[in-house]
Amino acid sequence: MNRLDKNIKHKLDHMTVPVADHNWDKIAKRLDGHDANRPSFWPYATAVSIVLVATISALFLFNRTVETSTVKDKQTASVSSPLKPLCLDQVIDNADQNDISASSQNSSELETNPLDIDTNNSNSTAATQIDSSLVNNSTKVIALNPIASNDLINLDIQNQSSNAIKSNQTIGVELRNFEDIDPLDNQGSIALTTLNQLELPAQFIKSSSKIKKSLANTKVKKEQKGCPFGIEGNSRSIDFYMSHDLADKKYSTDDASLLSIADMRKNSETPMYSFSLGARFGYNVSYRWNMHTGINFSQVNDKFSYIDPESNQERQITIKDYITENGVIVDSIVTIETVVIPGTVKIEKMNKFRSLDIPVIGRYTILANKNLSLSATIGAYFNLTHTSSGTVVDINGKPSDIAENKINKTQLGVSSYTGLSLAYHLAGDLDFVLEPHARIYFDEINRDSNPIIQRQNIYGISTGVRYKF
Amino acid sequence: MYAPKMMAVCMRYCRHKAEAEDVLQDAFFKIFTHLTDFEFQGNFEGWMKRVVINTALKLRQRKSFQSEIIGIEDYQDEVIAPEAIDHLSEEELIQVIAGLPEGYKVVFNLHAIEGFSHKEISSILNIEESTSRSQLFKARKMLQDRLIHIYPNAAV
Repeated sequence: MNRLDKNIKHKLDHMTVPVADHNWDKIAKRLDGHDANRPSFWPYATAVSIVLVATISALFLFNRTVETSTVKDKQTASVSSPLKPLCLDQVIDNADQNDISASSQNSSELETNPLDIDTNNSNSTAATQIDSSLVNNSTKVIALNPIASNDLINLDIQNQSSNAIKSNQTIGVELRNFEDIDPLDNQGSIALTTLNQLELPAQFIKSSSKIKKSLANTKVKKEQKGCPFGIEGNSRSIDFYMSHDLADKKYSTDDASLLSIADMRKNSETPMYSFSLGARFGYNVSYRWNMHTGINFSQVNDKFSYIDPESNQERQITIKDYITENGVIVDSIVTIETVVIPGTVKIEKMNKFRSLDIPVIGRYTILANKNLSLSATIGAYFNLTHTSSGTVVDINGKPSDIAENKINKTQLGVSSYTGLSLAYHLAGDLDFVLEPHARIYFDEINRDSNPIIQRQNIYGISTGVRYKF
Repeated sequence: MYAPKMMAVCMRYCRHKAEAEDVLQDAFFKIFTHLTDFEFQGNFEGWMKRVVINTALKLRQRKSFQSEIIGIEDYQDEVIAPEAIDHLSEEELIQVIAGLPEGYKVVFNLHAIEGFSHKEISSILNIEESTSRSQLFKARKMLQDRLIHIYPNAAV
């Protein structure tokens, strides 16, 4: 450093410039706004996850691709009406197809009535595939010719026409019987009527009597296991779940003199990862409605951070100044300074709020196929007990133990519950369930004697399994 | 207590008082909200000063000042007596330094007044060490030129 630099440094090192008052006002405003209005992102996350779940479900459920996967066991399928979604049978593999063809060739009747359906024979010689358009307008039937197994006919019931379709594609689904078409159902009766009037190519169908017979003899089919749509009064389930939650807390007061204390509460309590877990028993009460009840345990966590403004700290610091000449240190001066640091003692504690509730929830199935179902859930949680532990700021602005000073209630009343549930069929009677949800508390958390009013809402995503029996 | 000193530091790094006040507000906001980060190692004033300087440098980066390239041949090879500084008030000296091109001003402040080495400056500003040296050289030349302009008798 040359002499010019040294002189400049000497002149400017101890220079002071007065600071205008408006700077402190701006700094104070920034400090007041610091983290005070941290928006809770959890409601938005819940909304986004609900939209995501609905979008993914719609993509799956409205996919009209014919399945070609094969499995060993054959289940009895049910025909869909436009009001009822399709629960399709899974498979026929090529071997089964040949069996059908061979058995049909052994029957003279079946040769002339290739679309005969023997409802009592699980190895039905006639197979009809309902394509997905039936779900919407119930006017088309694609029939598989069991004799020439790769041949299909497309029956357009509404327009009363048919045409042959040649396909080498193995049909992935097989309809065993028409038992599930309700003759009183509007679309079913249309199907019945138009089949009567249909003039079908002779080489395919000579008589549709058996089809008409099975259409007429409809009966309510028993619930197919794995089908997301149940039959009234005949389907039960049990859910085990865990939810990853975040609580959104709001603080207010009717006493204007305590507004700063309400602010202190808001600034000193930070929501942390919370969770709930439980079990729910479900009962199918109508075609789309299920009712659930059970037990739910939830724990809301938050972090209490508090800087005591009266906690001055005195520290002694040692400063060593080196004296150099021509870049060489020739001497040093040691000084000890006492520094007083105000408000530097920070108290940090974890607060825990535990509740035990009885949920009563209705679940309405919106969309479903054999793999996925999308439902809306709505209901209420009835609180049995609530315990709080930890520290919060009291009305004097000092840290205060929640339990000792009886700050919160021990029973929180009723909270509402809404959610969107996506169930994915895993295997057999087991589904995986994903359910973003929101719980809104109607009552405040604090006791009536506490002038600082605390309300909370909980947003979460629960994952679990559902066993149907 | 420390604010006037920190304001003087801001004035050295900024182009004008309004910008210096912005830097001061940002710096004190950081100081108040990160008070617990001060681990009682060293001078508290020194810690504050480092926060202020870092804030000023970040503001400079945000504003993306263009380095003004001025050829060294533009400067007369004159030297001024270091004592010429004594004729200037602190405010006048601050104004002279503030009038330097951005790059020169920052390097001059960091080296001549804060005492950082060229290696440290290259690390802080993410420039080459040789760039730091040349910027300092040019800063001194330009300072001398301006001081001579103010006090022609100061020329040696």
